[in-house]
Amino acid sequence: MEGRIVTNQKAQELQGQFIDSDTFLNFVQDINDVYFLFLSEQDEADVANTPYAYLLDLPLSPFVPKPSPPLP
Amino acid sequence: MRIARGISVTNTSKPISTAAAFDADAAAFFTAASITDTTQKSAVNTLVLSLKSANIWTKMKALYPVVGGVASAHAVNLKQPGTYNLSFATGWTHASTGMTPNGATYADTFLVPSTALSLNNTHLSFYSRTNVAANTHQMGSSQLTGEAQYLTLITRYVANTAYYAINVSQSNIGSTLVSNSDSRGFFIGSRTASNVVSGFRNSTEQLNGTVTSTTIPNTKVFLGAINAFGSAGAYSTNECAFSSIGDGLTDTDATNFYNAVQTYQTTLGRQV
Repeated sequence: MEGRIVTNQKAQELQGQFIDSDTFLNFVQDINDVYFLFLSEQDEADVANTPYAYLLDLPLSPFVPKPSPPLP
Repeated sequence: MRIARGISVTNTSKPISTAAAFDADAAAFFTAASITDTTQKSAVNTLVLSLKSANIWTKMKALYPVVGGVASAHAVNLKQPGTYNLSFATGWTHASTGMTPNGATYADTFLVPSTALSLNNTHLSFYSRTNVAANTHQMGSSQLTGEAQYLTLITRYVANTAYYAINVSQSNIGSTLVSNSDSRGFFIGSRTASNVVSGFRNSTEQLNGTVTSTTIPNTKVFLGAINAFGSAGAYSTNECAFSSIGDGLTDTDATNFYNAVQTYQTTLGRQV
């Protein structure tokens, strides 16, 4: 799984900003607390028409998720 | 024009309407979700009529039929368009078969269980088209009150178990798990009393439990993940083709609900 790495400042600045009427930018921390942005192909097409199009230029990097707390 | 003895047909030049008459709630959904396809309209209309006939419709707070193939249509709450419509975090793929999260995203229902539902009268449902064993939640909400309090559905955990955790505490959540090795199908978790909680996969009742309810969470229900005390976690990759949130469902309700939803999915050619 790959996503785009952004700085903590950029993640906090853009978190929750809508790229259309139904979809908002979301940043997820990996196992090392680095923020990643994930965009589906549909999201990429939508972002391309927004002021956030520059995010598409960020390179893709491997993402290692934080482990979920176990249930009994 | 004479076509048979004693019968005549006169051209009155009046237009003949060929438009199908849809249920008013279905029609409102078509407008809100911009649904124009006749098969999709027929499927949704039949679904609404079936739910009303079975007295299930009024038990729903949010109904996501996931039809139309695009985010703007999948977002719409069939029960009451404009209320509890979904907002998607980036990372979803939308298709005619459903909507699929990438394992690091979620959708916000905006429905807060503690204000929209009752402690002992709650259900969640999720139609999964994906078979995967993973440490993830398909939908849910939780609250930290001394210990974690859960309202969540897990279709197939890593140990091949499903959880129908409807308003239970962390220490009791083990009482809501059942053996399950296939996460495809229609999953319903329901509570109809303080000591009655049930879980269904398709037409099979997998859980008939007595675990006591504790707290109904005060965080919004997320789809594709659990709202873990205010932020998303345990992200899913299960394709969702239908989901609902509402009042508790009896065993009869659950059977009727499954039959209606499976007929709906079959009409759309995406049943599992």
